[in-house]
Amino acid sequence: MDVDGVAILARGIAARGPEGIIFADLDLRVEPGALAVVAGPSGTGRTSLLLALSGRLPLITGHLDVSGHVLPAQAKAVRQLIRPARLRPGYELEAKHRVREAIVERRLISGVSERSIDAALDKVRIAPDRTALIDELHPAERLLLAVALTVAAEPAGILVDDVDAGLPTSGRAQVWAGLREVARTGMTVLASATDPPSGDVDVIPLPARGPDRPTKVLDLQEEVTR
Amino acid sequence: MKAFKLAWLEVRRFRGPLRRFVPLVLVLVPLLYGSLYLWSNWDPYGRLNRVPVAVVNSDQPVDSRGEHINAGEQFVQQLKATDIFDWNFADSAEARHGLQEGRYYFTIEVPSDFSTKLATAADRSPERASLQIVKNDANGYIAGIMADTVQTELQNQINAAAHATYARALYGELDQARGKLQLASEASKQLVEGTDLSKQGTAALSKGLNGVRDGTGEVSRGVQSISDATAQLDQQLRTISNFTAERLPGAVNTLVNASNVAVNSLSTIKATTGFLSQRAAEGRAAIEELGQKHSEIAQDSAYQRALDNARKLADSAAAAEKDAQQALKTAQDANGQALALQNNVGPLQNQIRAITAPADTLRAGAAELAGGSNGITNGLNTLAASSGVLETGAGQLNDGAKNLLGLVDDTLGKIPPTNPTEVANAADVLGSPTEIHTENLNPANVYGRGLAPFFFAIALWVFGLFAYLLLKPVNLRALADRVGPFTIAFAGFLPAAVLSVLGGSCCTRWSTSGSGSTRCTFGGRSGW
Repeated sequence: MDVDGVAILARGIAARGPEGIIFADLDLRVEPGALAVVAGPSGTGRTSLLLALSGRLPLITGHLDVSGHVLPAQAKAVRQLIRPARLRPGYELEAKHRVREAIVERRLISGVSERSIDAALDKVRIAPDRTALIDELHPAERLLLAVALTVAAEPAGILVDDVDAGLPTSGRAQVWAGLREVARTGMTVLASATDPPSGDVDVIPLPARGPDRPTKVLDLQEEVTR
Repeated sequence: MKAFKLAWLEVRRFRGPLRRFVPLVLVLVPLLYGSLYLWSNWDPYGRLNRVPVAVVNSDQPVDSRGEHINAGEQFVQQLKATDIFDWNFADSAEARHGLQEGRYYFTIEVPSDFSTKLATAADRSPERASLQIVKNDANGYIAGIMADTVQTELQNQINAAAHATYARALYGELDQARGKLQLASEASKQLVEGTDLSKQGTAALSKGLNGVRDGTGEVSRGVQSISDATAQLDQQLRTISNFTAERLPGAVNTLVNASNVAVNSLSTIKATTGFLSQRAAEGRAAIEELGQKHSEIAQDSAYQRALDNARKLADSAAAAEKDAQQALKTAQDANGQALALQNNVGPLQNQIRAITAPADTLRAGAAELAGGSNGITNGLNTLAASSGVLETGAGQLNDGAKNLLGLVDDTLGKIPPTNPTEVANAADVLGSPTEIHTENLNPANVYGRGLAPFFFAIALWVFGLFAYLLLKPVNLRALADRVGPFTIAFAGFLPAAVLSVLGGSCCTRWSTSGSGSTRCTFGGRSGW
């Protein structure tokens, strides 16, 4: 497995959600084949940043270039390059499917072969029981299964949200190890976590906002002063 | 209070640009559902004139008792005048086809014997005409109920048409009966006239008999007069020789007259001859005087001849006067004799009259006799004529009576029977001359079964609401991957579709087995 990963260059990007500004004036650079981790506490806009970087959330300002594709004009091409493995909430494996069914579903929607899936499972070093319910898998194994199913199609980049949520320390280590293996193939891995792992990762720190989250008020004040 | 606060906190939960409208939307749900449902059911019979209904008129007009009965066409015209439903006038096959296909909600068919049956109104046993209404509950049970509700009105309309037909038929019958009665009345008149004639005949007969009696009396009197006159005639027969003297007075008078005329004529002649003689003397004197005065003339021969002639003329005139004198005298004598003769005729005449009186009586008696016999003849003639009139009158009387009887019998035959059973039947039919047979291609029989399609639709709509509370309409994993949106949408639709088919089938199976019916009015259609 050898993949040309995506390179991401962002200058002064900002995005707005229903609750107001999510992030603003953000600069970042991700090299191909890197394991980049958006680090910060939950609710700070980690998922939104991952979506924005993969062309799934429109920016209100700034420059974003993904492997030569300039967003938002070429967002569709970028979405094809970067596939989500897990996004919370919304994009997760169906808890009541069996592993076998999840694999069948992925073969249907991605058109990948059984072999590619087996290879991807080997890559992340798991061998789940095909008859087990997704719900019954260990959280780390469940996440790695989702990663493997996405990797099987060999996209240029993958999104893995909330890597350390609900995982014990041993589980975290296992997941990070699996993600490193994926990044080693050349695939760019964009992950988010509360605590970034030590070692060989690009950490993208999010500007910590205050606990009262005054963005909306500021936003309104901005509009008034404008 | 705690409960109220907790309740308020639940409402406060809906913050955000869209979420805050959630309670408002909830408030509007009953309005939306109620108004839509009520609006659709507000006045289900309000737009009946847009409900298509097929009308088939197969009626064959008939001519009965001089009346042209075309009740089917009349019915159609009545329908056209109203707009209860959206009438479509079609043939039988088209109507049946349209009913099966749902183009018509029901059909009204006028059978071919409609007019024929109505025409039996004046018969002894009238038949009830019928109409056929065919419904199809598979097209909507409500429409069938509407057909039922207007059936009374339809029946009234049809009955009105039928009653009009009846009235015409009955008036035709009345007209005929009136004609017959008129004939009967004429026959009665003839009968009366016949009676009159026979009365007249009787009167004439009695009059004739009186005439005969009178004539007979006159005859006997005349015979008496004749015998009397004959007796008198015998007595006066000896003076019959003088009977001819009757003519004498006339002859004598004539003679007197003639001698008078002769005397008068001779008088005139004597006067003339006198005058002539005088003139001739005067002429001779004038010539002689001329000769004396003129002696030269006296010597002339011509004068001599004239004088000579004048003297001869004067002499002749004197002689003629003398002769006339003589003749007048003779005539006057004759006249005197004639007058004497006339005076003698009077006594002679009286004698002759005494003879002629009995003869006059005889003639009168004979005349009376003749008159009497004439009277008898006339009386007998009148009698004979009267007998003839009497006979004719009696004959006419009989004919008139026979005519009257025939007419009355004939008219009696035309009048409907008075058999109580038949009268009851006829009254029943005439009171409600038509009946409406209803048929149903797919009878629902009961209200619930009729409304089942409607409630099945609601049931499946509720299914749709619940289905997508529980089913995921979109597979987000597929959406993030290389799968077409149509495929994703179809995949999200299929589970609900299959389940709704199953759910609808369950519902249908339950309802059909529950009502024990044989036909399923609603298949597994899905309600989205």
